[in-house]
Amino acid sequence: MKARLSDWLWVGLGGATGTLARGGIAEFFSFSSFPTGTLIVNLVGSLLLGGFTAYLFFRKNNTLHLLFGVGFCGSFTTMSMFAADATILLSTSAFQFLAYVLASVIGGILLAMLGFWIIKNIYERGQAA
Amino acid sequence: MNLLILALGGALGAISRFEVVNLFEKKHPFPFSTLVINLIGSALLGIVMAIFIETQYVYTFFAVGFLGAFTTFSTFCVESMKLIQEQQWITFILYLTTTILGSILSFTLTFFLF
Repeated sequence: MKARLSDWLWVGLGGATGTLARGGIAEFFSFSSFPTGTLIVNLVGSLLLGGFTAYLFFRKNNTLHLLFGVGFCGSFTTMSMFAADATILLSTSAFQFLAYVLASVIGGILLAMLGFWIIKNIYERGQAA
Repeated sequence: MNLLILALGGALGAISRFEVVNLFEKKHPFPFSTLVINLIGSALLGIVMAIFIETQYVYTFFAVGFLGAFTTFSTFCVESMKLIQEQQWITFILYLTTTILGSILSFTLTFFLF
């Protein structure tokens, strides 16, 4: 039970900061009719989590996994707001809908792979040296 | 006050996601837990946006805070990346289409129903 409570603390702390950061970025881009804020958080968050996944592969750390991976990155990015944005775009412009969905999905997966590749290379070079 | 509500919603959303993930068996190659979280979260956001879009505190807490943090895009991308790395092509295509089409449909359905 004690382990469970400290897990909640780390996940909650990461979740709160990730959500505040997402809220701040959404506020900053609120002038735009295109969901730029959601797109940016989802792309940046996927890059970060991809890199962090490679980092954990070399440096296992459960607290950091809960705080930064599950908490921060998980909450900084959002699927529900992505679905809402896509639905609203579809009612105005099929082109913008497609651009948004493709940029989010293809961009997010490619950036996760890029982040993973960068961190993996840093560690492998460090080990070779 | 607004920031406090937002942070609280985000913390509770993240903890709820963590607990749902803990409910699932980890052995299965298909990432069921993230899919279920994203589908349920998107359906719930449809309800919140249909009913509470004008109620600022409710919208901030549930839509931006709780559901924004409960659902996740980065985990979906990293799980997709792992399926690609393992060359699980069919699982990858299945996971991608059910998540993306499913989340949009879940939101649309509840948003226009409520």
